[in-house]
Amino acid sequence: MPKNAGLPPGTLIMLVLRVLRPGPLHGYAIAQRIRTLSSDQLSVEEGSLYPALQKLLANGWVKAEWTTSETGREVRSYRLTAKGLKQLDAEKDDYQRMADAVAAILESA
Amino acid sequence: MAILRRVWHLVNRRRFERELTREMQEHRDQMADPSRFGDPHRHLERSRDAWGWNWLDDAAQDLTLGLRTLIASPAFAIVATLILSFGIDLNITLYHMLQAALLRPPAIKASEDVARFLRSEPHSTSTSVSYPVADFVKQHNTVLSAVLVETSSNVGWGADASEQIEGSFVSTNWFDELGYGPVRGRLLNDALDGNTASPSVVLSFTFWQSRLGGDPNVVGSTVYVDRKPVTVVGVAPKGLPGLDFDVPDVYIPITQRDYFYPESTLLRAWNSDSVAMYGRFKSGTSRPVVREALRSTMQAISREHREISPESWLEPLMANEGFRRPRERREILTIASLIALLTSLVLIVAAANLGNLVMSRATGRVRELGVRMALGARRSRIVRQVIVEAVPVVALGTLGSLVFASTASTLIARMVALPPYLDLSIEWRVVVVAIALASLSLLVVGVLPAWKVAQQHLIDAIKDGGQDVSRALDRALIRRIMVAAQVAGSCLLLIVAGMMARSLQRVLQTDLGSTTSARRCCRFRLDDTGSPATRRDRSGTPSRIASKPIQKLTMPPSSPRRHLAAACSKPVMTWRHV
Repeated sequence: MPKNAGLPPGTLIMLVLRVLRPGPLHGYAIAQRIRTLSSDQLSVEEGSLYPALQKLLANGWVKAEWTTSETGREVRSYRLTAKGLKQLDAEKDDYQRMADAVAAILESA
Repeated sequence: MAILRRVWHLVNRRRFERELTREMQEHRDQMADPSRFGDPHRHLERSRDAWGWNWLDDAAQDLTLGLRTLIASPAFAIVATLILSFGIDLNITLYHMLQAALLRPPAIKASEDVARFLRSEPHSTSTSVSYPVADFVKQHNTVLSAVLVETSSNVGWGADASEQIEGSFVSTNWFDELGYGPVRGRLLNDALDGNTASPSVVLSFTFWQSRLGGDPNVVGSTVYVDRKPVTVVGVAPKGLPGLDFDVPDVYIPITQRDYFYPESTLLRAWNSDSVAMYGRFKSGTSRPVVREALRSTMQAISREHREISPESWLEPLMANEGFRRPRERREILTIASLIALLTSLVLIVAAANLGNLVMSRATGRVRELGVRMALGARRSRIVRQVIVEAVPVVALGTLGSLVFASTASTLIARMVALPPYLDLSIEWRVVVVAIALASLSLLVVGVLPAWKVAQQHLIDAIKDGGQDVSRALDRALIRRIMVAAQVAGSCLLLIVAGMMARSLQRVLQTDLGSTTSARRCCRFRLDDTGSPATRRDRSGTPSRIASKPIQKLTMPPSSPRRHLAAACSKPVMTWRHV
């Protein structure tokens, strides 16, 4: 198993919003989706995930509702709101700009 | 929206946190290794941060701690509450009484449009005007929608006029214009009571209750006012204010005055200032406009009646200014400010005293505070703890002061016989003033001690038992200032109290230049013109009433000489002192 790298600082909110874009997910599924999509390179600490989800709720970027999962468990699913979608775009732009700037420095002579 | 969402979360926090706990439990159950989930309580604590209410939790904890500390020291809690209650109470009672009795406009319909008119000339002013002048203004003006007149005097009650009560002769639009309806029957009105053979009267609520026992059948009954039969047509409401601080027992149409006093010239004498005149401004009319318009009216009167000076005018004094001239208001406020200065000094002394007590208690707790800092509490948290601990004391003090103020106002009103229609219930302004004073007190009682305590090296206090910190706090400048404020304030109050007592003593001991032990004083009614009044007995024979009380004067047998002196001044009402 590759070494777990955690998450780059300041990217958790963006990644959670991103994995919620296709459809609602519950907390455990969000953590799994991030791990899967990053080919096990990134993992979310539960101690960071739930405060982040509360922040998303507090800002109105997601809505939560209790549903039944595929395994028949009662889970709370988070659904992206229109405001959350806008936030995702803004976070992506910021991150891209930052990544480009870092890359430019790294690739410089 | 975000703030509403946060408030909604705060209100339903227990439910939301239950759901989050359940959610985390579900998450944990799905994990291959649940122990990697970590401590759910810690996650819950961090999740709370996202909603921004943790400061409230900290404050609640400090408040709980403060309350526990207070409960653990009941003697301190009681003394502190009483000290602060007394300090705030004196100030708000003064404000409350001033507001209720002098500053608040009378409780009448659209009081901002109502004025009392003084008859003014370049070198003199009369608070009354003559009835014919008021009536002329009523008929010939374009700026007032209504003119009201009132004059009070004692009248005899009962067939034999054995009891003197306060009679108020009012214009028939009095109740309509003040905006009051009857409690029983009807009140006076132009159509029914303008000029009838048998006058109608309205009883005041207090008189109806206290003198007639609230008799429900009083309406329609015949009663006697100054031996003349009149019909009671109604009872006025309890809250009906007297515009001149008077408390009438019975309201009588002024147009019926001749019925009671056929020889009276009040309704016809142009030069006899005998009624209080009020007016309601027409919509959109200002005080200067009314003054100038009525100046023209007065000039028109003076052309027909030489006794009215062409230079006289009617000066309006607004109801919302308590019917007082600016100079009178300034005088009241000056006296009130002087008293307020003394009462605020009491509050300063009380707050300084309590601030010292709080600092002394904190000195004894430096080790406890040091342990909190050693466990990670920031200095600001220590400051907040000491301040929040003082909040219950200040809150209890404020509550106590409001209770004291309400009781004190009622007692003072009884002692000085304030009119019953004055509303002495604690209103929101008094509560606001009490809270403002309490906040200022909190600065001295909580903030200053907290700031000074938090400045010390509290962690070091754990090692040496807090001796160094205690010494430093004992020598602190702020503490000396508070002690000095207490001593100086107390001395000043004692000096002022001593001076007032001495002044009163001197007034009582002032030599009047003659002995007063062999004197008696009596007073009796004069008629409207100021000449000795006559009263008709049961047979209708007029008799000079002035002579009877004078004849009945008894002097001590030891009095070497029997002199009778009469002092007559220009009559203010229908009484003169003899």
